[in-house]
Amino acid sequence: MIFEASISSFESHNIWRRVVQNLSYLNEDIKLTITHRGLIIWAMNSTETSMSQAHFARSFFDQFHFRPEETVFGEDGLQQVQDGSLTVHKLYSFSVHGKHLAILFRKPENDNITLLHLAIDNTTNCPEALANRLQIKIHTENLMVKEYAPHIVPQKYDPIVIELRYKRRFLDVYCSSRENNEEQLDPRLLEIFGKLQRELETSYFNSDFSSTSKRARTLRPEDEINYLCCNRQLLKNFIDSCSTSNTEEAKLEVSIAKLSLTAFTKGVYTKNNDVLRNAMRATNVVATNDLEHYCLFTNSQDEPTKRPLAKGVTFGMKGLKNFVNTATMWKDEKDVNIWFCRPGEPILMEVEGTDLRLELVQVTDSCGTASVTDGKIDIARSSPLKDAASVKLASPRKSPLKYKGPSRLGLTNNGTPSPVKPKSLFSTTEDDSMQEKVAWKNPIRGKRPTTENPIYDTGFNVDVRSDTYSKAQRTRTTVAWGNSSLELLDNNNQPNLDQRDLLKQEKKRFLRDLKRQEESRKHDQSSLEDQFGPTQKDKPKGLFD
Amino acid sequence: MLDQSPLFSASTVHLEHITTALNCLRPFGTKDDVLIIIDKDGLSFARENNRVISIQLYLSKELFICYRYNAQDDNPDAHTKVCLKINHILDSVSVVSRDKDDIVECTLSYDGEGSPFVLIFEDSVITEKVEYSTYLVKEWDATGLELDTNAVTSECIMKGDVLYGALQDLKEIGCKECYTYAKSSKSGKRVFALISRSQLGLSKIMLPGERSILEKLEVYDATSHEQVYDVPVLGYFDFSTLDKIRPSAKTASKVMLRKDAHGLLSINMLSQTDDVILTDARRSRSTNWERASSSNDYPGIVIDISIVEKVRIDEADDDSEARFLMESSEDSVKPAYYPTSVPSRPPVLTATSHTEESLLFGRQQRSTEPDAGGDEDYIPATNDIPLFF
Repeated sequence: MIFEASISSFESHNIWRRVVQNLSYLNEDIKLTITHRGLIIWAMNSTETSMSQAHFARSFFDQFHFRPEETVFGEDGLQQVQDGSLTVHKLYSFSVHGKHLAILFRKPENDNITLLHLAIDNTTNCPEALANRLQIKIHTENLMVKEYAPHIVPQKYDPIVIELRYKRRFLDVYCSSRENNEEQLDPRLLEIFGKLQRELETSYFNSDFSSTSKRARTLRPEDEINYLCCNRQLLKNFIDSCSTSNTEEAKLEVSIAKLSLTAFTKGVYTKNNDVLRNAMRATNVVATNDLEHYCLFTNSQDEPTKRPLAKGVTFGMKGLKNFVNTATMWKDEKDVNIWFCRPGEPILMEVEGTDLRLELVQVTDSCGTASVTDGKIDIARSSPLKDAASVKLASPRKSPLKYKGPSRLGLTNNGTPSPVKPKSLFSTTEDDSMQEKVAWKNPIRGKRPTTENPIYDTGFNVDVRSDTYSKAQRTRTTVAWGNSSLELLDNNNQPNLDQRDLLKQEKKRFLRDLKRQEESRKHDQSSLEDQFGPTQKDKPKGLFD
Repeated sequence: MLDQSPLFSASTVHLEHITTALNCLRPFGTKDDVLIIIDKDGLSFARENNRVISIQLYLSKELFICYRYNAQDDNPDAHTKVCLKINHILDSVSVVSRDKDDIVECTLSYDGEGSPFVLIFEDSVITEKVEYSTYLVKEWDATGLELDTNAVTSECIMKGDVLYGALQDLKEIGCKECYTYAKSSKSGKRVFALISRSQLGLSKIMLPGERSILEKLEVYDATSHEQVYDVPVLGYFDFSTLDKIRPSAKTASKVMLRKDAHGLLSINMLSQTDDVILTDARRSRSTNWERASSSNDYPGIVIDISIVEKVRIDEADDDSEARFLMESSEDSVKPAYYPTSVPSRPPVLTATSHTEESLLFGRQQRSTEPDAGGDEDYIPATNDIPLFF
């Protein structure tokens, strides 16, 4: 036997079954790769728009033996890879019919699987009838013993390392900036950085990535990557509440204040405008406070009016749905990590359990917003902001202080305030500066450390600073603006404020009051105040230094 | 209720039970005629497909509140035959059983050749009468579908739900052809397995060998009728044919499989309503049934199916693979219950016995010593309505 593994616990059977079933929806063929560390099982749909991958750790199995050296039959599946540290690892890969596999692992009627045993022989002793077959033996509670031997096609593993690439880029963009700026980040975000770093270092397939870490300091728009981390329940709610069975696409949009998840279907019309299919759309909006973390990449040079209001990507609903439903197999709470770049580049989602990591990669829709980001690339240095919002649903206020740090960074470098989208609303330059600050303030609720990146009109690159990024602001209700601007006034940061129209001020005040009322309802007042104090002080200093 | 006394009339309130029973006939063709044989003990439904499989389903007269068969003469073997389409009856019943809470009484009557078969459904508010024309009586021809009781090679009694589960699994993996494999070894270990040949290659489902489930498994020499050990008996069937027994197996509490040397597999099934081990689906029904039942004599649904084995074109090859599959893992499979004592009956020599013996695995060396006492007194059950339960 070159490979033997067994699963005996009920929970693990469930997980195994769900994963296999989920993958079998994607493609006829499921691909498996055995390593000394565990089992990778993945599938990509036929149009190559969606890929799902599950990494089972060795510890997931009660018994796990892998002896690639003994392979005689099916040598096509045998493969060696060299990782970044030049260590060679042996893999054995093959593909197998997914539907069959899903049926075989299905839960028997009125019965339960007690032991599931997987094996591949392919050694010198292997009888011909069992060569290139995955031997599956299932013992059930009813004492039935079932043995199956589906055919496998040994083939080399061609790792698709979007996952590693994104993580690398994520670390390059956010982690390195952290070092420069001595920002004070949420320790939990740092933990994630550390974890990803380790993961990159230990991965079998990291040989391509070691060099990229030494990239130039300056960031380009192509480097854009956004990250958010939320409880899987949040996605599950979205799947359950927006009629996902009738919609084909999902749009994820995140701004500083909110995350909106939209399920939609485009309408189809004939030439005569007869409706063939009705368009429909359902959106879930979640305050970013409810996310575990998020990091947004803001291109500060963009003309404010053209900037997208929020970072958003559109992708297929089906893949998302399967993924989220699969992710619910764990009983305990799990967080979903999501990375995405500019529209058109794939989105990566990941859930990690103790012995299993699930990944979904989906192609995103490139039409629409993509052009916006591309336009100004040359001059603009985008300064990605690091936004560490670590607010838990349960106790959002616990660590407000963590976030204050980042906000000031952005200010220090800029003599001129960066034009923020909101600009369009207020024609005067002063307004712009106001708005930037506002952005920080939004986090009034205290959770987000939003840092603004001031942007140079000249086209200088601004160092990375943490900022909140502005696009989102406009989408928000004006209420948000009012709030922040008022706060700023208090701080004395903005001399320019005087120039404003009284009317505007009044309006903002009024709006702010409204917002406050709302907020006070939602949040504990005292904690909010604590958070504000420190941030406000910091910011003014930064700006005028 | 009936104006005159017809040749046959019977009424029952156990419509659901009858529906369950008649549903077992569905795989044998719902659009085709089923032969109903009426005699003084009850109703038999018989059907045969392409001369490779036949089914007889017997509903005892105890199932009916009143059962009248007025044979013309006093001949105790007198019977009347009539042909009906089974889906007509099932459709009528399903139309009637709208209201689960109401008791529907159903009366069947038939007045001999030329008259319609009449069903009358009565519930508390509605009376419905359905008449089916009966034109043609096909003769029952079971040539070649009767077990040769003198050449039985294996006999096996097991629980019905287990067989059902195994068949269900085979169906789901898209089984095309199916082997049955039966072997009993000297040590008391019995193996009954279904081996499927499908897109997945060969798959094997081993039924539990415990005595509570596999009550009996004996393998006989085809000519000497002596029990032999460590010699497997394989049957080879088209799965679409074998799968026709699935609905029957679902209702069955006990199943007896017997195979003769000519390649005929006879399956007798009994669904005992008072059996402890009923499948869940049946259990709910049977409790109702027991409550309503006025008679404890009801033997349950008795089903008799015969299947002709598929011709093996490439016999050696086919078998050896299946045998190999069984051999390869045999050692690792141990029943949870392992009888500690050797079976009381001394071992029997298999010697040359089995024509299908594979040369590959040298199993003959393992075969057992001859048995002086043997099984001479073994008399295989007849192919009549099974009495073995």
